[in-house]
Amino acid sequence: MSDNMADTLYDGASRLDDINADFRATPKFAMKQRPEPTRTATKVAVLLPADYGGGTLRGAINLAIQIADGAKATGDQLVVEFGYVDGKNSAPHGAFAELRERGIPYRTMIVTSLPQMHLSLVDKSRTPEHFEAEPSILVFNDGVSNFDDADYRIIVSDRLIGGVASPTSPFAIVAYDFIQRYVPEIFDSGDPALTWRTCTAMMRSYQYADCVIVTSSQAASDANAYAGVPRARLVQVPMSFDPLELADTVSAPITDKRLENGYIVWTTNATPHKNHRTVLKGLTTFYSKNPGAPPSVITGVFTEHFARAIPGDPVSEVPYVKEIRDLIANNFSLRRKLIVKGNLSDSDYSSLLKSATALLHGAIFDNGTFSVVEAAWHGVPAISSRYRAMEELSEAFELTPTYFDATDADSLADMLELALRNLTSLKNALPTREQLRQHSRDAKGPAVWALLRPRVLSGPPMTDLGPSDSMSCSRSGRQRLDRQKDSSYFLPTSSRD
Amino acid sequence: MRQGFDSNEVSPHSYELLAYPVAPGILLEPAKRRLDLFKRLKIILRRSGSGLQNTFVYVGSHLGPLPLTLLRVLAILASVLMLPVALLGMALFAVWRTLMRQLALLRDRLNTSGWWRGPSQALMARIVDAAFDLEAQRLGKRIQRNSEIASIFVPFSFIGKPLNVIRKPKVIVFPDAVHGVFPTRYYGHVNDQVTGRIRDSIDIADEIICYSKHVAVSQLLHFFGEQAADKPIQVIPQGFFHELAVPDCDDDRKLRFVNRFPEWCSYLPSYELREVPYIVYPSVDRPHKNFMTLLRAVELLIRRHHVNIKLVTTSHAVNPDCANFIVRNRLFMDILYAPELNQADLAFLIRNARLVVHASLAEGGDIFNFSRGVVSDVPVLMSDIPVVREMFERWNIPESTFASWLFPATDSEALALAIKKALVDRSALLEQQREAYKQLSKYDYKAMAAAYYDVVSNARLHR
Repeated sequence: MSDNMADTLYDGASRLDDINADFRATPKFAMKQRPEPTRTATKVAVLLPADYGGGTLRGAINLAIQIADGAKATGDQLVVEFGYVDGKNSAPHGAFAELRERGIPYRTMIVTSLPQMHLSLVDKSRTPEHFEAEPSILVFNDGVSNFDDADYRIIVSDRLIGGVASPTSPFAIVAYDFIQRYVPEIFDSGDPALTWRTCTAMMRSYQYADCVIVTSSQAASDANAYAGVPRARLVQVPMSFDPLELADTVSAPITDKRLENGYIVWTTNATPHKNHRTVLKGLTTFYSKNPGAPPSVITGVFTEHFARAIPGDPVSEVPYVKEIRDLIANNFSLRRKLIVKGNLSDSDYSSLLKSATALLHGAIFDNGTFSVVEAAWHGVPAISSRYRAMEELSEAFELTPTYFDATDADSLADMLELALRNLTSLKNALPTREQLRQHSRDAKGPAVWALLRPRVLSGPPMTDLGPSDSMSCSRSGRQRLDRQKDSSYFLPTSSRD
Repeated sequence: MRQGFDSNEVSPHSYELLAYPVAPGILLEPAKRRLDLFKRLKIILRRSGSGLQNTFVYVGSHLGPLPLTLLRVLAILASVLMLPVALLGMALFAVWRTLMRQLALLRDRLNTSGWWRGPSQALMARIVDAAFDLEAQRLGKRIQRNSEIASIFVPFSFIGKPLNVIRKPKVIVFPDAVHGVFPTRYYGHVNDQVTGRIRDSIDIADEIICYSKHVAVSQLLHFFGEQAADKPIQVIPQGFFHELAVPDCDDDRKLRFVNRFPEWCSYLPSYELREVPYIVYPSVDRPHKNFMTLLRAVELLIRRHHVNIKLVTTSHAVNPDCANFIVRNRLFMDILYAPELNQADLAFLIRNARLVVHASLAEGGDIFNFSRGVVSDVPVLMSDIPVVREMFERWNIPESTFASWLFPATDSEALALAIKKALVDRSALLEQQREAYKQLSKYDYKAMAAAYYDVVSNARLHR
């Protein structure tokens, strides 16, 4: 070997040593640390994993918009994507226009369940602790990335059937309510035992969620006491609503002659917790005492099945829906005074609402309905059943609906009479649009982002924090526990009730 | 397509034609589409018979004369014996049915006198009882021979006749005879043998101790007056548990709840008891413990009044009525079972409760859960039963003070309202009960033990 060659080789070898030394020093090869992300923008996926239409779809879209707008206002580099299931409850036309305007990509997905053992390579540092013990995981199959590249996922629903969400990134679950705790009949369809087993199994996801997002203190206390979510992992975001301003410019005049002299809008859907039996009984009493009173217009998802059975549609065959349909059909007062409009688009609903005499809301229990807020927006007073979430919503939006006892049909009849006699004063008591705008989605966006920001932008997970005696806390969640003592991270919930 | 098809002859193949009547050139009337089942059966039998015969001929043709003859003989024998075998089978079946019926009757009879036990378990229980009797007698004889033992104290009344061998003063404790107060609730739970033992124990006793005046009068003298009427009866109430005053510490423990309804509930969260509002009823679900009223009240609170509350009980068992109620009303996530807790876990459970509710329809004496709750800074609601009133009236605590702590024992609506009110007025209620506790706690376990010692040491033979 010539000296030159030897020198070259020696230089090469020493160069190789330098390169190896660099490799060993590079953090990405350190076993316990994850390298800093190479991209600067954090990706958040907002996912609606079930075929929801109506308010839930609208809520999910609004949340995505609030996060995007909030991040933009704070200068955070954030990319928001939206995934949804396209099914029978297909999104109304124009539902995604606002996402499009903000450059938020949205795509359909199919939610499937896979055995976890088939995941060959997963970044364990980003998976919740003890996650590997779960037999199956959910996959949000969009045919593109399955949202695997999201840094954070926000799943707008706890109806996670068949597995536990997301082994590849921290995730939050939005839980609007736990109606089944108060109205168990909503789960008593088909094989009740199977339904309940499935629904209780869905709650396993809570123990792996980085946080659970709620919009009311009722939902917060139920998430804590019923679903077992520790308070430290609850994030209560402010209620907000989406003014149907568009409908003001797109005029769709009411052509139904039956509605010419005023009407009451009853916004509902076809689920038992909407309390149709009591409301219909109350309406019967009301109309028998007041035959000249304005008719009632039913609108909402699946309410068209109350008018007639739709061949081939299984919703028409649900026993509860049949019962309500028969109740209406066999009641002369109701046949005369009840008009079923079914599910309307936003603009049609807005047109209907703005000319209404009053709005009726009769649920036994839910997370509060924004229909009363929308009614107030159009200067329409509301008659509502009284329950905690509704009181909370009314207080948040400075509304004073006329309350009735949800279990007492006579109370509804009396309050309807009272409300119709005092329409003027009730209208005068409604907040103005300017007051309501302070609670709009856009106005509350920054507050929502401020609450979610510490969760979403926590950065890559730190090194192993050591053993935990709590199965319910993810690694990334535990590192935030200390920070949760700072009450600015969530709105103050009521003290233990 | 078959040619020359005669619609009057139904062959198995005609099924295809009949099933698909529309064929080129053939138009069958609807009536002919109906399958002639009888005719088909005939054809099948005929073909089977001929098939069997053909099989027999085939087999026979491959056998030599001797096996064939043997086969024929066997066939003849089988056909001759078939009738008696059939008759024998029918007779055996009838005997078996009768035997089963008798066994069922026997099982029922044993069950009514056993503790919901099957026949073999009842027999085993009797064997164990007999062994217990023998051993008790043997021990009794030893006690009798020991001159250092002056008197005997038996803290229950289930031993019965084996005590007879001890000719020394015997002081027996009679806790209660709740199965006499609620005989149908205890149907099958307590057998005649147990009642007999209680009667015998009272008969043999030289002095009897009860935990409360109410039990002494309404149960001991009422059910066992013949044996107890002329015996000295002492009422020694339960003393207060000062030791239960557990210091307040930042206890970070999680209790595991037993999922009693896995067919309905796949997953029961491990609730953080320091955060979750719940009522606790530390008791075993026995027939007089009145769990059902409390379950109904909790159901009303959650479903009608929308109160955020759970119920936790330490019972290791759930009786069928309660189980049905919980399932029917889908309350398996709000009614929690935490059995077999150690003292520290029990103290933790009580300390973090919003209320202790004691719903029992009957007790032998003072309510332990009252002192347990109050020393843990948890207010207590109790059913309005005589022993509860006696507990407070003994210390001259006026009814106007303790009336609001009581609820009508079987009225779930009233209990729901009482709980709702107590959850709101928790601090005020606790403050009142602390005052009462100060009175009651003057009589502690030491005082109680001294009273027992006094009775036992001064006991004399009654006869």
